[in-house]
Amino acid sequence: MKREEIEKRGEELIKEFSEAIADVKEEVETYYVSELVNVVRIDSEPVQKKDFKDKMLKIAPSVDEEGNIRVEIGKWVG
Amino acid sequence: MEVLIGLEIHEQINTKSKLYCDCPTNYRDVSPNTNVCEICTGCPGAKPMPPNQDALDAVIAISLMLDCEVLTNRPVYIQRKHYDYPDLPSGYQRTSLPIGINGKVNGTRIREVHMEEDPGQYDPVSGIVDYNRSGVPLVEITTEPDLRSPEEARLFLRALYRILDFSGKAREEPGTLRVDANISMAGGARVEIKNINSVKGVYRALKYEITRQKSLLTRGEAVRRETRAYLESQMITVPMRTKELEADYRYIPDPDIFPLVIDSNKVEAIKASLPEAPHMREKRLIQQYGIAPLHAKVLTSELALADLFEAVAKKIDPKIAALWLRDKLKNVLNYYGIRCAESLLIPEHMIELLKLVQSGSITPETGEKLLQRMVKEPVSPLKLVEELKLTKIVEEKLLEEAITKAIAQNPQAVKDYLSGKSEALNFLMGRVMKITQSRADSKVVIQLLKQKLKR
Amino acid sequence: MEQIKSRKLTAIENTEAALARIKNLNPKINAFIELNEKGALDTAKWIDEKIKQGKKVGKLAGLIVAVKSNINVTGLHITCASKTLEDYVGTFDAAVVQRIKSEDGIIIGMTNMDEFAAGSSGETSAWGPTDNPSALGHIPGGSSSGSAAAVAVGICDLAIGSDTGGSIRNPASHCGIVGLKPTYGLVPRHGLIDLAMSLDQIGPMARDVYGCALLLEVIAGYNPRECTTLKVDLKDFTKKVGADIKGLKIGIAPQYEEVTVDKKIYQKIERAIEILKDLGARVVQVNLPNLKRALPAYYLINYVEFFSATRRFDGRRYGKRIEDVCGEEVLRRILLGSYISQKEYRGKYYHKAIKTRSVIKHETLEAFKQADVLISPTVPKLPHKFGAKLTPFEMYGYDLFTVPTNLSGICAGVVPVGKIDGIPIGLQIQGKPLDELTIFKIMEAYEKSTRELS
Repeated sequence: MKREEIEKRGEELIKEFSEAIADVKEEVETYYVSELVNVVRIDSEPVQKKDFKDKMLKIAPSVDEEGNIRVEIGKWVG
Repeated sequence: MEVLIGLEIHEQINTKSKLYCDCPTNYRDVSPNTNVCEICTGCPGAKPMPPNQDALDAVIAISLMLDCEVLTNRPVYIQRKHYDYPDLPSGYQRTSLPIGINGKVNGTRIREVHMEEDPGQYDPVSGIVDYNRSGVPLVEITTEPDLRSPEEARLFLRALYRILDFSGKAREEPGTLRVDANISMAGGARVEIKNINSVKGVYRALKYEITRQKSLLTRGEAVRRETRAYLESQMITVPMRTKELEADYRYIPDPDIFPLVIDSNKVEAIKASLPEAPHMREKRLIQQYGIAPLHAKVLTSELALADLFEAVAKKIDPKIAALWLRDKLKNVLNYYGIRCAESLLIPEHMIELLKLVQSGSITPETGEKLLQRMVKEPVSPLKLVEELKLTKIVEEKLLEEAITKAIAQNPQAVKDYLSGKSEALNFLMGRVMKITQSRADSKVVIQLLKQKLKR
Repeated sequence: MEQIKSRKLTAIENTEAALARIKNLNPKINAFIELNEKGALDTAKWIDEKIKQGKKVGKLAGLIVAVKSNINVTGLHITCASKTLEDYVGTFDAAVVQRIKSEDGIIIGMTNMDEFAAGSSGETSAWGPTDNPSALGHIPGGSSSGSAAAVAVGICDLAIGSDTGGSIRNPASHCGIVGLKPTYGLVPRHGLIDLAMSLDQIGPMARDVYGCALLLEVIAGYNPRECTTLKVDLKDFTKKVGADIKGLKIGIAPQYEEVTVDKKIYQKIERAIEILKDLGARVVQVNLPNLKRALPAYYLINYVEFFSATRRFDGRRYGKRIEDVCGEEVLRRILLGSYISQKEYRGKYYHKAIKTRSVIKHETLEAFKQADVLISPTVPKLPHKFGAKLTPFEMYGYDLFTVPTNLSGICAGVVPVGKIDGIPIGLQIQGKPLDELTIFKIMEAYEKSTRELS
């Protein structure tokens, strides 16, 4: 199916969904199911993950010899 | 034509580990993609670790130092700001809702202070990405459009940097600064300039942009609303032409991170342990040590310099310490183009050095030469003096020899002096200092020269 | 497993047998899309060695575990059954995988699934659909289709799946196995590739309640390296199942029967309830007037969170840009997520959905003031046959009973309660937050009584 068609039919879906919940009076927004706050950690000695780099570079479509990931050149400088 | 300038400043927080993972933050010291893990490279399925508490506390402290109100007892969501850019591994940047609001620096209003994660480093010219920097904690400070000229922007940034420096929370290495500038002129749309990496860059980018917009407006052409990049090498701005222009960031609270609620007691505790603001310190130095206001200003231009001064002033006459740090040390630092924080000079060595000078063991000139080495390596001046035999020449005989030599080698200067050109005496003195490797007391040399040449 | 510990069966034998069954049956079922043959055999060898030397072995020693393809295992292709990630090799072990490995479970391979877990039928995999081994020719359900099918056909002992709106329970029901969606935050998510982060949970799937409880025991528990796991004392699920269920209050809502499309399903559920009553449970009526609103709220939230989660698939690190290669349903969710989270529309759609979620959560938790568990069908209709063309709305209809669990953050288990025309039917038991144990007790009691009957 074409992207445009998915979008068009999708909008009908959205309309149907929003109608189904249109009469909900609630004003409280529940972004999280648990009501925890301030889950933080204390800054600690860092850990360098020695073998991660190779695994990451192996997957990347293009890398350079220094270990950078190669992507597109900026359009505004090209 | 009236110009309205607002700035968005990003500075790194000096934590040991990153904001959402425990990778190291010293990204400059390592080869590309070394300080990385599945979290800071946004691998599929990687979940953030709980936010780094010390980064949050630093942002609160900085907010307070910028005279902001810290938003307490309400949820501060960590939001996902979505945009597509090569340095952004997850396609969104995590940025907090405002932590501080309504601050002021030098009369310029601070709109908001946020906590963010740094993206990786993308070089648009070569098209390469290194994620070492990705996830380093940042404080983001936005101003109201209160600045009216590039010069005002420059002064504001300097004042802001002095505060960030004195907060002790920002990374000390230079070049961590990143600024986006918004600029609009009467009759034109607002233009955003991205990628500016220095105070000088901000000044130049704004100058260029004002000229560009002025000429468009005077020609009757429109200034379009757009995002431009500053090209440091050419000192110009160019349109970014990316989709980011019409960016709708589609913010949502990050479902993987619970909101932060800042307790007002905590803010009070941070406030109580806040380091002294630079302008307060400047005042105190004048009062406490009786030093000249001009000296106090220079000494509080940088936290490390002010700290050094106060450490030295415990053991050395503060006025002498101030004079030496402001003149001699500043000269040396300027010569090397580094900040005091980057020098390897420690207070103990500075005290030793000034004691050597005060006791007359070495000449001030020798002291200055030693300072040049002490900034670059942590060496005791006492040891250097012994090793290199730099004590002041007190034996008259040795001085006599040096003076005789200088007179014999410079007959023209002698002639000039005798014919009434008094500046020739300084020249001869310089020759004597050269022969004695600055180990002679310059006042004594002048006297001896005068006596000698009278005969 | 007793056979392995007592050395009647070696881990190697169990692994080799599983591999042989997989080679024989997988071409027909298509439950696995990546095999970990060498890794599994190496692990098995190591476990046998430990047993031989009389060393202590883990809770899963020698058991064959299948992992859904959206959960990271180092060195294996973690594709989410999408072309987008066909070249992605896991760079780390998900927290649950670490736990399975440290309890000596043998990871045999990665299972098939709906692409990015965005489906309820198992048909949208880029590697082709999984067949339902318990009702060939019918969909196995989704999105943990391969995990459910592999367990059902017996080519693994245990499997892990993920459940965002029913993805464990729906295929467990269709395939006739036991599955559980844990309370949000009970099981670590580090390593689970996102569908909708505020709803996703990893959970166990097994042929019996004991296996399901055992696997949950291994994977559950606080993980300090992520934000959303809960600090709870882990219950000894396997030791405590089997206790009686006398006096437990089973909540039934009138809405459950109303929305069940295939009425035969509801008859099966009523019979199961009768059995539970015979075992000492009491039935109480609860009211869930907003039940039908859960589905639209769920999908709107799912679209937005999924859109956000897929922004990293930009082609720069994993080779392919998701919008260029993904299937229709994944593209639909991305486009709609992008659409409804725009400044202009977010209030009308996204925020409204988030508010509706409050209503659903509140209503569900209220029901638990009267009942210990809520009992309903798992799916409102029988699984369709391959080839049937469903509209998105019809497809979403499968999730009607399962999404409220996720929206409320509670737990729910599924246990088979018989067949209709040869197609298995699962009973869904929703429990209070962190009350997995009660669910296990009921499932175990039901399982035991029907085993005695047969």
